[in-house]
Amino acid sequence: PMGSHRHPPGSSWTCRAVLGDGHQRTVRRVAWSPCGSYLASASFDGTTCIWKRQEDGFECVATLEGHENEVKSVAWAPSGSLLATCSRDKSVWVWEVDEEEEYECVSVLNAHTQDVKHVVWHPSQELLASASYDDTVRLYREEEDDWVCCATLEGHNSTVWAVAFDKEGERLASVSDDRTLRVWHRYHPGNQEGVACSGTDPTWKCVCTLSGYHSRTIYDVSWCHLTGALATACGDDAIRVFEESPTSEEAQPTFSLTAHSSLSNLTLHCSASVLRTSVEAEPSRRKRPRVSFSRHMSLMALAVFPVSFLE
Amino acid sequence: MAARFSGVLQLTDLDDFIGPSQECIKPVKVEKQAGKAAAKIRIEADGSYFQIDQDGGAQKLEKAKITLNDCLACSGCITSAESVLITQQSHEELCRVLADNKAAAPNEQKLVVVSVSPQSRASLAAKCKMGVLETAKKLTTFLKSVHYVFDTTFSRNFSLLESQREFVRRFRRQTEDRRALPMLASACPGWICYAEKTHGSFIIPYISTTKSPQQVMGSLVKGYFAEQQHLTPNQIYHVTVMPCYDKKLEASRPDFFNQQYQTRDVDCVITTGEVLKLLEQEGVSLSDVDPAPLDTMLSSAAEELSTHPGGGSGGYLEHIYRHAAKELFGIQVDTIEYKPLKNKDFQEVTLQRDGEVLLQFALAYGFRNIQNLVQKLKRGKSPYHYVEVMACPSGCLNGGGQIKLEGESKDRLQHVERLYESPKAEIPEENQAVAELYERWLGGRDSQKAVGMLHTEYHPVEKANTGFNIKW
Repeated sequence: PMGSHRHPPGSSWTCRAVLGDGHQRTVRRVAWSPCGSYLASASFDGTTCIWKRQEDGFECVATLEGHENEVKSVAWAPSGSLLATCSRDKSVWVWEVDEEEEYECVSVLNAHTQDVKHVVWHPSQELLASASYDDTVRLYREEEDDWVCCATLEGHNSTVWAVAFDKEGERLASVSDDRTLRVWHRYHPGNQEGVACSGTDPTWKCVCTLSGYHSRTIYDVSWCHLTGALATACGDDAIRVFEESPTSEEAQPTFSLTAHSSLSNLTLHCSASVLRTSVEAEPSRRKRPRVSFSRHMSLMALAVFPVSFLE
Repeated sequence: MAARFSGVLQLTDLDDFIGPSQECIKPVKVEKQAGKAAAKIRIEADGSYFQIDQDGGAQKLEKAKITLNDCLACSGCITSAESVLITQQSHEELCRVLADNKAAAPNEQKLVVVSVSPQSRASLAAKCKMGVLETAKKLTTFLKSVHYVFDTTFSRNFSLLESQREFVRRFRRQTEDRRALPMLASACPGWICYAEKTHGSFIIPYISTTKSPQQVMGSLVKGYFAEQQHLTPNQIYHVTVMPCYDKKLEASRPDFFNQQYQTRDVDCVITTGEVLKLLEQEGVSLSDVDPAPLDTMLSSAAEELSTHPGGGSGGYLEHIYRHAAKELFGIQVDTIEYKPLKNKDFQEVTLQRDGEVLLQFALAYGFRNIQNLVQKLKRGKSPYHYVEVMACPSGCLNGGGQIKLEGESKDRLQHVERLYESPKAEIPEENQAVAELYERWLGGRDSQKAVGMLHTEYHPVEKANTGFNIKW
């Protein structure tokens, strides 16, 4: 059980730098490199800037051009030498950086048929996932001297806004304009469950669909690698956290809503403040929650403060 | 439907969405009456519009009409729809033209000429399981309502010779002209359209001005051949058979439109796949057709097939390399060694002497390599003197319009490559017919006519930043 800490919003964070000269339009996403020395910024101006951390700030060391229009997302691969970007031009690009900090395009993937919203790398393998306005999630891997789309996850009925891998990378969560969260499981060739695979590529199957929880489009999802909990960001102004039920089976996992933040007043068992608003969660069914809520929230929200469970 | 044009072109904003264009050329005729006050418009229940003038009289207004033909004349909106561009030039269009031609009065009939690219021929040969010469002869028979069937390998001689000489000229002036080198190949319209649209005036100075074999053939057929046949250019309907769809766009370029005779140098481009469709439509199996002798543009031209070494995309790098080595450094090159770089579509060739690099050439096929090349060029970090740029990975033999064969894709492509390379290799400088044409028709290699017939220009495409084009 944690003691209760309350901090006034913003007191422990200071603004170190404002990188105002890199882009000409909306900066849509930023991503730190695995080593922490570089920051990538994806912009509606069609470029992705790479900023290198210096003693006194950040310097733009490279500008990745080539996308035809707005870049929607950028992500670093765990190895740190690969980067992925995606755009409204329907393509996903894979870039490579060498020892001299020179970035080169390694592949241009045109698998999606519409605007690509999000790209994310597998936590440990060089496997890339993308989410699109074409209602699908696609996966890509390297094959010989090029990258190929090795899987297409169909099931959502509308734009897929974001995806997230779980810690092991055997499962993927996707969230959509269709207001559902889907969990997909990877089945390798020769799997016990008898799921068919074509060639040497694994098959991804949708093993869980959470519907009825969200009343608007779900824009983002985050899968906590520490606790396994899933958090969603929704157009109905709420953040929701789902945890896997104790009776969940691998082939048919079940998740339940363990925390639902909304702006209305509810009595709480656990609370967290997000930005300026005090967000309160529904009472937890458990008397002693397994995990600290603050850990869940801190991974996802912009500014989250330690929270405590009230006894 | 999506993957018709080369990957490079697909990324250059060819929209399915037809947005109204501010460049619309359709003038809407308005009959203006001299009057002081503005007219009032009344909309009836049935949607018709009436103009109410000052004394209360009502006049029904005509609806402004824009027909598809008007739109096709304009470069603005509808023509960016892929389906329209494709149907404008297709095998169906060819069939229609041939049918109309048959039915037309003798003095209205056109001479129909088909120029087949060696890549298309190799693809057909692979599909029909024949050699290339057999394929060429049987194709000549099949296209019997067509009057002549030529081979663009012939016109390619001109493209190669002009490219070689252009390179040497540029190399010699590189100290005065910062943008003389690297010289970038010009035969691929996928690359050209992308370059004009995305990099515009930055990249255009580097692109070779030499016309592609297709367009040289256009000049030859509508120029020399027409004269020989005592016809005007518009009395010939020139069709080419190409391995990709991008060639359709090349044929439609305004630079290749003959203003005087209001005719295109190439009237219709059909892909290899479309030829197959024609065969299937007629229920013909090419292997069952009787072979016919090959047509030649000049009677002195050889009656067998020939090829140019250096890969399935024309061999520009190899020809320019050999010629430059000889002309600039007095070196006779035997075998050319390629060094693959990041991927198999990006390869380097280096000429060295006593440890000094004399020439550094490269092949850059496919969008990602084109990207990297241009970005390097922009940063001033490109080490090349010449780059053979092609939009399609693996080059023209793998173009979007080629016939898809069964089996492993690598093996299929290799099979087509072997067929493509099977004819005897010819040296452009030694082709008698080509030399004759330079003399008789063009009046010399450096004549103004030669430049006009064998070279072209490029135009940066301005991105229209009008309200209509912004996608929120």
